Parts: sequence; C-alpha cells; structure tokens
Amino acid sequence: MRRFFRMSQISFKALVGVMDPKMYVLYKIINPALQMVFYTLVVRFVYKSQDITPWILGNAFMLCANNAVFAVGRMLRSDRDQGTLQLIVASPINKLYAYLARASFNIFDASFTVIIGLIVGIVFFDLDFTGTNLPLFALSIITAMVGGIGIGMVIGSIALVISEIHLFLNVANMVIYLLSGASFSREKLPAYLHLLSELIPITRSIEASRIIAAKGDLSSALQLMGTDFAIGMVYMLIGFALYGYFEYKARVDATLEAY
Amino acid sequence: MRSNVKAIISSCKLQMKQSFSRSMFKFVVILSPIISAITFYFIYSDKTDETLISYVFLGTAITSMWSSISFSSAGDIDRERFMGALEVIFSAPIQFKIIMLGKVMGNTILGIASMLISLLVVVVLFGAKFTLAHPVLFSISMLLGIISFVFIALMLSGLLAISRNTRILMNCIDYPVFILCGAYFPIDVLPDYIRPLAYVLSPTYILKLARMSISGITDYSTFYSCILGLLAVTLVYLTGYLWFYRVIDVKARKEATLEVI
Repeated sequence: MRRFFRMSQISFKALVGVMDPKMYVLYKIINPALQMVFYTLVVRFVYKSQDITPWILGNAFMLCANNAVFAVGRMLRSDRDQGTLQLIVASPINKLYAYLARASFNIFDASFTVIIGLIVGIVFFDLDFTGTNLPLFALSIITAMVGGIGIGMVIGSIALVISEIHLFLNVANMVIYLLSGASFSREKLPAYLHLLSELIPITRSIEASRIIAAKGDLSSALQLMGTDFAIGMVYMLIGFALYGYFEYKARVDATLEAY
Repeated sequence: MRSNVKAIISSCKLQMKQSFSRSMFKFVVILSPIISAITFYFIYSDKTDETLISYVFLGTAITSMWSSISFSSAGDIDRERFMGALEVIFSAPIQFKIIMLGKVMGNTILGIASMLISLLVVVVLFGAKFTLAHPVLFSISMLLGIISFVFIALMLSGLLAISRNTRILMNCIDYPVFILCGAYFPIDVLPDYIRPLAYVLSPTYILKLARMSISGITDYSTFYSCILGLLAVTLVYLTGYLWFYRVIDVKARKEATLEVI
C-alpha cells in the first residue's frame, strides 16, 4: 500500500512539479474558482429567481473534468514525451497496479478542486449546507472523482495513438461538460445526446449531490452513486484494456516512441 | 512604408498557414465555437431569438475571437522562441513589432472565421432568427472591435513575452475576461465594485455596441459614449503595445536572454 501511495505521489509531483507555487495557486485554485464564478453568473442570469443550487453543485463537480482530461488524460502521453514510457513498459511491475497508482492521486487533487468550487459557491452565491448529510455529500464527490479519473484513463489511452493531442483533449473536456448537465437539465438534450450523457460517469454523482443537498431521498442518492462508481470502474478497466492493446501494438510494430 | 506593408502581408500569410497547422488553433477557431454555441444554446434554450443572438451568438463569437486572436497571439513569441526562430525575426531588417503586427492580423482573419461559425451554429443548427436593427452601426462596431482586438493582442503578446510562464498565464486570463466583459450575461449582474474593471476591456464595449445594434438603439448618447470608450481603450492598448515592445527590445539587447526558454 505504501508503494502504491508513493508511486501515486511521485507521478503527481512529476505532473505539477514544473510549476512554481505561485503558478500552482494560479492554475489549481484561482482558475477553477474563476471558472466556477463564470458559470454560476451565467446560470444566475438565465434562471433568475429560481434556486440555482443544483447548477452551482453541477459546476463545482465539473471542475474535476480538467483533472480527468488534462492531468490523467495526458499522463501516458507525458511519459512518452519525456522518454519514460519505454521504462514503464519494460518494468516487471503489474501494469494495472502502476496505472491505478499513478492516476489515483488525482482523485484527491480533483476533490480538492471541487471543494474550492463549493467554497466559491458558499462565499459568493449563498450555497447553504445547513442540515446536509456531509459524509454522504463527501462520498458523492469521491464517486464523481473516481468516475472522472476513469474517463480520464480512457482518454489517456486514446491520446497515446492520436497526433492532434491538444485538439482531442480540449474537445473531450468540452463534450464532457456539455453532456454532464452541469448548467442545464439533461432532459433538454436530444435523445441521442441524452443517451450519450448516460454514459458519462460524473452525471449521476452530480444528481446524487443535488438530492443530498436538497435533503431528499438518501437511498436513491446512494443508488446513483453506486451506479456511477461502477461505471467509473468500468471506464478504468476499458482504459487499461486500451492501454494494454496499444502497448501490444507498439511492441509488435516497434512504434512505442513514435508520435 | 512599402516594405513594412509587404512584411505585414507576408507575415500575415505565413502566420495563417502556421496557425492552422496547429491542432490547438484548429480547436480554438473551429471546434470550440461550435461546442460552446451548442452548450450555451441548451442553457438559454427557452429564451427568445433576440436573447439567443445577443448572448449565445455574440458571447460565443466574442469569446472565440478573444481566444483566437489574443490567446494565440500571446503565445506567438513564446512559440517562436521555442522553435529557435525568435532571434532571426528579431534581428531582421524589418522591425520586430511590424512582423508581430502581421502575425496578429493573420490570427485576426482566422478569428473572424470563428465568429461566422458561431453565427452559423446558432442560426442554421438551432434556427434562431438573426435580425439587425442597425446593420451599418453593427458593421462599424464590429470593425472597430476587430481593430481593438488586434491591439489588445499585440499588447498582451508583448506583456506575456516578458514572462517565462506565458503558457500558464495564457490559460488563466480567459475566465476573468469572459466574466468582466459580460460575454454571456450583462455586466449589470456583476457587483458594483467590480464593474469599473469591465471598462478597461474592449470586448465590454464591443458586446454593448453589438447588442444595441441588434435590438435597436433607444439612447444614441449611450451608443456614442461606448464608441468613444472603445476608441479610448484601443489607444491605451496601442500605447501599451509600443511600450512593451520597446521594453522587450531593450531587455533583449541588455540582458541577452531573448532565446532563453
């Protein structure tokens, strides 16, 4: 377990180590807070007198998409850019273990970002958690982050074989936001997009957090979180399977370092 | 003068080819306006056509323009430095700031395309009616807006070239600008103490002018004061551009750190 945590920590340090503390604060705290302010102002203007708590929560949760797409999604690609991918492939360690360890620190990092979003909601937009079941609410954040990291792992594996990496990651980020229903009801989406949105793991955790914040039926919230967690795990396995396939192809074609 | 114009045209053409070969620029110019327009359409879906045009089309158009012109231009010096071409451009017989003007103009032409894409999405895909109460004033406003965007981009490119953390800074300036200029909501929703900051940004005036030209001008004095405001901030950007490029010139010669990444 210690080894798992150490790997996770080192991998995370490698991702953010290039930033000095000032830049880290700007990128990981100020920017998400501003993103949160921006979307909340939009929904407050559009929905006017309606209760905008569900949309504040949705946008706070969606701050994790940046972690999922740009941190986890770029993890393997960074390995190749920095020349360490071949060392990982050649290492005797269990690849699934290494893969999960390296992505897992991002769950805490993404949760931290979501908490920043919630603080912005409390301070500037009167988000109220009085009487809310906080442990269950925290659990909804964790399940959303597991789902986010799962989708990030799929994106990360695909990013290994795509040359237009920035285009792919940015489109993925925007599409996840669109389908999440963070700022509007998913019922507004056309049937085919609605179906696609069901496949995004974070959506159910957002709905669960809304139920918990509204002090609604906690068993249905738990059910939603359970489904999201399961979908998140399926995404992780798909991500790992894709990675395994691309690694196999790269070994056969000798294209591991090609991009 | 003639050589400067030739340099601007060549630099502009080359910049368009270079920019369009970058995947990030393709995203900013083509895909981002499409996905943004779709997302904000669903947020505003139960509103009138006029609101859709004012906030979804204009919001997406101006933010896409901002991203394609300011965001891309801001990173151009950094990219040239990374490719090892900065010292060549810098020591060319044509002034560095003239070459950069051509580059920004190249980004501007492509940025206008992103604006048209936003309009097409809202009008063709979602069937919103695009009617202009004052087409001539709308065209004048947009033209002045584009000129202003060119100078804000040049000023930012100079300012961010002085910093070694350009890329991260570039990624962090979007949301403050989108919030302050009222791209997707009127700036009246901002707290009073923040609102004055909105008036140092030209997109604020461009959006106000465009919205007034679309819905009809009830108070011409407000319209003309917005025009004056836009001209005033553009003049400030122009001064900033000339000053920052002078600073870069002096720093590069004095400290010899032009190509240091």
